[in-house]
Amino acid sequence: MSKTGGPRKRRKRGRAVAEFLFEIGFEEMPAPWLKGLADQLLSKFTAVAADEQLAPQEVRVFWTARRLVLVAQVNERQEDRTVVEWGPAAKIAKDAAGNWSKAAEGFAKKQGVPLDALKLAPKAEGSSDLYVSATKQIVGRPTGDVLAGALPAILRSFNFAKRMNWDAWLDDGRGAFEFGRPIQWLVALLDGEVVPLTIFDAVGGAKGAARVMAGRRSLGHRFYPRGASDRGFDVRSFSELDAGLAARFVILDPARRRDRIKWNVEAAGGEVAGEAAHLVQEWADLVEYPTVVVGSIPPEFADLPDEVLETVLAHHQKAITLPRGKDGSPRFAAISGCDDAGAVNAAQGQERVVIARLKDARFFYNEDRKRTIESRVDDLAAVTFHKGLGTYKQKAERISLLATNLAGHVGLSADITTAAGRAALFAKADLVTLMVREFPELQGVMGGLYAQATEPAGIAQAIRWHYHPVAVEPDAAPAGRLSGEALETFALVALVDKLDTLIGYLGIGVTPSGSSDPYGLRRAGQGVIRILLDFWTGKAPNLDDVVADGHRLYGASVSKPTKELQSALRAFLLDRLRGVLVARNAGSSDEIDAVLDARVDPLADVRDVAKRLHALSAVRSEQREVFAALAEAFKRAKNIVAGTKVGAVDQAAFVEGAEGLLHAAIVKAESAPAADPASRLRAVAAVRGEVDSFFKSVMVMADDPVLKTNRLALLSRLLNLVYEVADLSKLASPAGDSATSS
Amino acid sequence: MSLTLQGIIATLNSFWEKQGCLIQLGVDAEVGAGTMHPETFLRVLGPEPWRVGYVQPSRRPTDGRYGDNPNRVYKHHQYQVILKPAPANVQDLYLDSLRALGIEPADHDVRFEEDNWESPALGAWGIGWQVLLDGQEITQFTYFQQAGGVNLSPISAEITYGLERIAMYLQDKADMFDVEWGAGVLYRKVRHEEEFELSRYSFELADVDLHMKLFDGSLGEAKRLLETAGPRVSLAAYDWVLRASHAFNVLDARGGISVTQRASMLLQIRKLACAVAAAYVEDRWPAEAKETGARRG
Repeated sequence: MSKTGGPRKRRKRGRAVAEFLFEIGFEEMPAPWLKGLADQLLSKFTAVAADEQLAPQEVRVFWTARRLVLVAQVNERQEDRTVVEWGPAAKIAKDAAGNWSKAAEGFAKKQGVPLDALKLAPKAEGSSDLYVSATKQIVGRPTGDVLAGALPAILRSFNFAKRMNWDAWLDDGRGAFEFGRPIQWLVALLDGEVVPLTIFDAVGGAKGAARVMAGRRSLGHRFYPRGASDRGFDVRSFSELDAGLAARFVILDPARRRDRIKWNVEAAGGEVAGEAAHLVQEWADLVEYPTVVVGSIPPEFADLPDEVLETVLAHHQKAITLPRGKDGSPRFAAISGCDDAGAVNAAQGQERVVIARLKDARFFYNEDRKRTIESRVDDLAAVTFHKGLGTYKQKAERISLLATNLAGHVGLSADITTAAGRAALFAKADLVTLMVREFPELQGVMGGLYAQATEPAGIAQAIRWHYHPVAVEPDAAPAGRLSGEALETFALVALVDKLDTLIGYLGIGVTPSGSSDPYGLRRAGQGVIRILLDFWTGKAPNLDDVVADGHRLYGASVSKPTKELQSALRAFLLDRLRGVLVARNAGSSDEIDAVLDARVDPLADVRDVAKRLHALSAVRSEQREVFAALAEAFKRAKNIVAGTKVGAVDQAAFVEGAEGLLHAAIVKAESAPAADPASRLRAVAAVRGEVDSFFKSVMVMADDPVLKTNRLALLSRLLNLVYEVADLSKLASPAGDSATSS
Repeated sequence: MSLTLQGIIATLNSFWEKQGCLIQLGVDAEVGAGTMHPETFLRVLGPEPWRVGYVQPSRRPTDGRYGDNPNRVYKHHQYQVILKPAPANVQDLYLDSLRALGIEPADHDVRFEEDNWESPALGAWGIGWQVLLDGQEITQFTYFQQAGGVNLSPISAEITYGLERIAMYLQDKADMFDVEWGAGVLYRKVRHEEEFELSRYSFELADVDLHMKLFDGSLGEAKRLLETAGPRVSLAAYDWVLRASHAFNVLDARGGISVTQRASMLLQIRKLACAVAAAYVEDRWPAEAKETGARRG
């Protein structure tokens, strides 16, 4: 990429090809937007160029915080092309004598073709309706002209998360021109020739003087190389731009900036994975010339908990934690946009900022530890949970009771019951610590750390993790970090905390709508489902009972009747269950519908739903065609049986052979254990032949009421075969359609 | 020799004066930020060009720490510059002002990082950056988009320097109170006692009922002025909005208001700030008031 020189002339399939280079230079654009803006530029340009018959190829985009660059190969001219325009129908285009009519003359004039060039032809092949047509040869325009017309529309097409008025104006008929940040320069070159493009000032709502004109002049780094009197430089081609930028401390290619950062971090002993990999992505778009600086934290801070160090470093300073130094002092890596000499100051400055924050943190940490977690519960009376739902002290007392009561119902040991009651009572106490007031994202974490001083590990762990699970993946925290009694205590406390929140908010009529969920209720609901799916080890809780208990504990502040609240919470959680299954790709959406619509309460034990879904997905993938046929058959059976009252099957009343065969096949399938959904599903799949022949040869709605009743009973028994696993009629079938309708 | 705090102010005054700024004084009222000064809040309205620079002592009662915290104080000082319309080279001008202060950007990590400013109480927002100097935020840089609910045109650039932060950096001090205000005179000597007393007042002693009355009375007076027939009076009304805003800040620090009360008080301030802005525009440029969306009351 670094070879300098003008653009090389190339020919492709006999046509001359030119290089188009476009650079939009601006004041620092927000880093998180850049990739998306580059994608927009790429797709918009490609679409416009293709539309304009420029045959764009090798379209590439690059970016830094101060520029977007596009380079592409395009035809030197638009392709010449033949266009057929259609006019009026034959009977209007010709008069009675067979001469062209006034209408046809008008059409020829409009199209700019001589009258004798008009033809009559069918619009569609083989049609007998003739229309007048004009075939026009369009000579392609030079690409420079075409682009000059298209560039304003491309500039205007960008979508920004937030756009700004910068008193600019585009002469494209639409006037005032907003953008993400002010544009400072434009390079637009077709094979080294400038493609004109001008942005004007907007003055008092009208076009003012020219402000930015496209040319061949790009700009290097703001500050490097040191001492340069002019940061600008002229280019003729992309390779000159790329080389010129490289010589001026601008690494244009984001992948190369990331590589440089990665090498820097690894050279400092760090690892670029997980959260650090995210930070590296962000760092790479903050500066044009990334240099990683390494900071060291004095050993006096070494006894701060790792969670505190990481919060200050990662969340507040966007730094990556490095392995500790030889003397045990914590180290970190931060990004700078400096050369090596400047990086020395940058490192010192970063250290200073980090140390100032850690000093605060250490002060808060030491102050907080002067009191036990238990002694803080009363202070929660001063913190409002929600104005209609009382204080956090009330919440703490409620969830403590909820946890104890639920532990009893599901038969947990006395030890766990006591532990969960205490953990729940203390779970919110860190809200009144200095540390959590300063670093709210450490809620839970600090409570767990402070509880260690006086409480057993299981209680401290339950407090530490009770805001989790947050993410939807099965291996997201705290998966794998807890076991035994600590796991059970955590699951209990985390569950009742979330249910208590949902009971309260739903109870006073607050529900999320659209994108608005200010109290995080969807996340709480998802957490409930995840706890029950991934962390619950014993007997599944009866959610209706928990709602009744929670409602009782809220007392008069929740006015909705218990029954209504129970069904509102059920609907809400069912929605979340579906969401979790979809997000995890646990099955296709029709499989999820089929399992959720089985004749079993899905909330009785969500683990069972997951198990049935897994089985359905697996067995169906073995026998896709069979299940498609069964879906049809079950839909049909369901429609026929719907609303009728059916009794037992009377084998003596069978008339057709297919009836007896289907009955025998059903009886055989019924012997497959119902508790093993996979084997039940395979057994049902085996009935498919008999079902098909039954529907082929038997008229269910027979005139004879005895025959009819008996056949309905047989179909109903067929449906019942797997109703406790899944409603197979909900599966998509080739005919159709209505996989999700009900 | 690194600059003292007063040396920094003198340097910025002289730098921005050369750029055609009037050098003004901070507003003689208790405000939380230089943006609330009429030289910013009102001058950015309407079509007339304006360039101004001033030091604004900024009171934020909730940030009071009795002088115990090295970074956070009840009252800090901002150097505020308004350039209207924003010149195309405004970032370069700013970087030159850092050079004037002895900060050569090539020797440091100087970065413009996205940080859009918004003041719900003033119905104002803008697009811009925080400027980081070796990881420390030293300046807020904003292209004003709206003030008092009025869409602005032309767009003003606002540059707000955090003077204490810059002084700490230049003098290599980890504690604000160790900064030299003038030669040999520490910030501690000038301000520490004030920090303690003002913190004590706003956290422990401020009379909640009195401040409630001040809040309501100030807003009432502003409203009455705006509704009074006769010649222009929006500047006087704005003074009362500032008083209401400070009363609110004291109540907030004192813990005298609930969350919902807080939201409703902020809304009342905003309504009046917007009404002042609308009156200011209408009085001066009646034809434009319609287009920019200015609305009284």
